[in-house]
Amino acid sequence: MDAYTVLIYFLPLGALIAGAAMFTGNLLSIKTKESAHKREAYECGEVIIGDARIQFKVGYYLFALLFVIFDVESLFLFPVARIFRGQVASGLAPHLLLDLAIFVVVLSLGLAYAWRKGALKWD
Amino acid sequence: MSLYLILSILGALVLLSSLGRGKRLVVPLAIAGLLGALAVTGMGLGLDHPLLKGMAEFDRYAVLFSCLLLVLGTLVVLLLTNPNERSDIPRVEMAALLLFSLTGGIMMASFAHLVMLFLGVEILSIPLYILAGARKRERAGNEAALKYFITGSFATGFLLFGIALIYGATGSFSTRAIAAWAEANPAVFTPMFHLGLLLMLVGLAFKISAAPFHFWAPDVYEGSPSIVTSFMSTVVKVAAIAAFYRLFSEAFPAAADAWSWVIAAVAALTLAVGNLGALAQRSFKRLMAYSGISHAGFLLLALLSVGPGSAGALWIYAAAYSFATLIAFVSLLAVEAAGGGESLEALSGLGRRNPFLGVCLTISMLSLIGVPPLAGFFGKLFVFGNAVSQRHVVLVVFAVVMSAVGMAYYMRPIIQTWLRPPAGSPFQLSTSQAWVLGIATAFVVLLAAAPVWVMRFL
Repeated sequence: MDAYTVLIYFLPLGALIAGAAMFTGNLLSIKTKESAHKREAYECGEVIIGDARIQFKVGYYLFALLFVIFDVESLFLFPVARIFRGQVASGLAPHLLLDLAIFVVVLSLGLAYAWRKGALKWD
Repeated sequence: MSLYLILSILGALVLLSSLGRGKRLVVPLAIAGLLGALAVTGMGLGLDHPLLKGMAEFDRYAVLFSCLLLVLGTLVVLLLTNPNERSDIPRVEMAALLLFSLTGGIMMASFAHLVMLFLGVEILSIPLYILAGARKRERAGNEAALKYFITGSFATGFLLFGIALIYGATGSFSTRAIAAWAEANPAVFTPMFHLGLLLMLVGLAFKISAAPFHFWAPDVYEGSPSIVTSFMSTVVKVAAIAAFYRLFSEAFPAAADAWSWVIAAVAALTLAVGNLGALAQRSFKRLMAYSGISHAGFLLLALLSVGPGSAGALWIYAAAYSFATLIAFVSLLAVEAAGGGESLEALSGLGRRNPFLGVCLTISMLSLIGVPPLAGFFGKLFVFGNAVSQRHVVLVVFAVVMSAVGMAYYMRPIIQTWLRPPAGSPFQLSTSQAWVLGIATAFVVLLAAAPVWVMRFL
């Protein structure tokens, strides 16, 4: 049960950190008047006022989906890269390299398919 | 593992070939590959060595169910070659997605580790969420895809949480280790273990569309293209019940006291909902959806009598059900291609419009009722016999009453086929449809000769 009681401490700790961040932000930031400009979305992003059920470009979704390919790729590449040097001596390194190559090729085939189907065209 | 590899490489090849000029070769390629996979599976018989460090095992159970899944998958892919089918469905992508889904189904029949079970369920389901909406410009298709996706992910959540709790209680994902743990702690009520058991049961009950988790099935079956529905009601159902039985007979036999009454209650409710619900249907497709629910109830009976012979009974029942259902869906596809709709009236006079189709459909309906000497009869015989030997007499009596109710609605397509005036002019079946019908009907008739062999084998 000890491992779980630790979790309880996270509750006030989380509130404290979040609260402290907001408080410091409030303390340090320059106060400006409320204006229409201030309520605009920061950098990119959708308009935040009005009906949420608007049609937005499906391209956002497709790009995000394809981005996941790279995400997953790095997710699996990093741990292997971390232990790779240690495996050279044991002779497992070529094996690992081959496995990773197959993995990357399969993922790239997915990307190539989407590319050829025109998923990366933004218009 | 070679089987997983063959199927997933095949799926990727089919998908990539859609980019080049070889579109026409895609379905023949897929079918050749599937037949190759079937041969590989058949040759692997008896070599039940563990795969992937013991995460999967192709024992006899897995091999027999994989063969069934591969045959069914091949027949559905064969239906994709039909030139009469409406051309607004992306055939090549569908073939690839069916192959990926089939890979998941085979993982579900051969897992020895809960992670493999989960992966199998997901690999089976995700392509189907897409396939359900294959006609993306149709409202019904979109509704089906969304409903299937939401209920499917809900079920996955149950399954995953159940797996996590079982892991928390037993300290392992391996079915063997879980069974050993359950044997070592027989009579103790462990909240984490029992809750995990219940949640996994709910998750899998969703997948086989057992009541009270069946509500998505009629809408999804109705909204999806008929080819996809035929896949859902055969391959998916068989894979899900194979996984259900494998999980409960390998991991939890020692805890049977805790789950057998839950399964009995779910089976009874499923039988009632499926059969009584089917009585009210006007559409043939929805009728088959409710038929699928009611057969999930019969299949669950096999889980109640885990022991020698019960896996064989399950296999025979699943095979009889799925081949007969496949015939029904080929009839539906043929009638749709000839300009008819999905209602029962569209079948009227089918026996005169196309006698071969009429005869096959009649055989299929009779087998679903359980008329001897067709395969459905032997399925029911063995499943009921096993359940009686485990003293579930009341439940079996109820199931027999419910299969009598089944007669009332399975007779309706037969009556429409033979006793009503034709709804249109005679029509021809396409070559692939005729082949699928012939093969499936042959199985429904000839499986009657196999029971003893299967029972001895499993």
